[in-house]
Amino acid sequence: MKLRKLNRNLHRDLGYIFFFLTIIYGLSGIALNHIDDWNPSYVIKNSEIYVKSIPTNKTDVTKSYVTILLDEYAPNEKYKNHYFPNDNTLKIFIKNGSVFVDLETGQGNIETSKRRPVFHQFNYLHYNPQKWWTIISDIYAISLLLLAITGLFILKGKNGITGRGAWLTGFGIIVPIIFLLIYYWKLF
Amino acid sequence: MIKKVLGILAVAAIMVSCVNKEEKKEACCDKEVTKVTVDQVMADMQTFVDKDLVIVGTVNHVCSHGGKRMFIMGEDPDVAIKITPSEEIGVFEKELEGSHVIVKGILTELRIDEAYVANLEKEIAEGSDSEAIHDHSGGTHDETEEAKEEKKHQIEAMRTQIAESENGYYSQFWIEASKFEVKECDHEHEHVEGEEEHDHEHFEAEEHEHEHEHEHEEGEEHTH
Repeated sequence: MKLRKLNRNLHRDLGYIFFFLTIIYGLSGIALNHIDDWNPSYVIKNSEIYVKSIPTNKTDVTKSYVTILLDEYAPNEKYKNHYFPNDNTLKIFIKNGSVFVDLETGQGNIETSKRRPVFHQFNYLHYNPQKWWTIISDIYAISLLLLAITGLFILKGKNGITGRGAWLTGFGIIVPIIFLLIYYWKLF
Repeated sequence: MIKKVLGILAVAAIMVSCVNKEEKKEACCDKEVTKVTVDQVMADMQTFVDKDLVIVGTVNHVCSHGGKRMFIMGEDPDVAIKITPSEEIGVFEKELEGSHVIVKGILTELRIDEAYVANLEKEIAEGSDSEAIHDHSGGTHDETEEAKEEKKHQIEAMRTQIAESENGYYSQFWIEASKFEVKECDHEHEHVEGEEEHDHEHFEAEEHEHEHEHEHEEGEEHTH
């Protein structure tokens, strides 16, 4: 009786403590699962530009020329730096992205990237950025184990681990095992 | 009760910050560092392998998915070196692109031979990744058919390079950064051919880590 109460209290308190970490890892986990489809950390936007008059000589593309060009075609962007990746291309670094201009055709592209609110911060944490965070996430991982184990013994009776709980827990075990059989051990 | 918990958290935070400061002092004065430009290192990589370097360059790419790699270039835009962050730096932010940075770290060499490529092939088949895949071409994070094809091409390219090498291997180099800072300039620097880099005087300022970071996003920390 006392053991069950201790178990319930532990489950409850770990649930409270790690509520926000679970939200962080849950959301960033979904984001990273679909990393092929989107960039969860940055909102990247592209827009085409056409620069009408452009110096034919690369040496004429000075910082002052580039800032004038930015004022005209990307007035909201702040100049950082520029260089020539090759003879025909000008790359301008702006505060939140870059601008490519083909010096022969005048065709260009502005790419801006801005931090995606919430996801940028959550992904930062998900990627284990610091050793202290590794310790925190280890503690969280151990607590998840405890939450899982203590969760099994919260209830007694027909909804407990000897009744409905056994079926649902069994289902949760069988699903990953089926995947392992098919894709890891390749038995089917 | 809440006051007690807050008190314990405050004491813990002070202790952590003290420990970090101690580590910082040790890290700054332990070893003699070699001050170089990207072009100097790229011209003679073997000389600098396993050495502590302070290197200056312009960030031309940051991997936007995880921020675990960035590339800095020197005078020649075709020449860029990969920088990986230490555990303490954590990640590089995309906003660094176009910034002049001073990086402190160790030049690491990875020798790629047939045994390495065979192992890499096995790892790719098992779904894991390797640092060698993340060369200046940027590598890929996707697991689409197209991405798998790209990795196959990279493996083929590696084998070609090994076959063409005299020693039966070729090397990839990158700098494992222990710290870095963004170099603030009074005037923005233009990477125009023939122009000299005026980096050398800035090396002296390398220990003033937090004084020059206001160009960056709030709360972003680059040096530790």
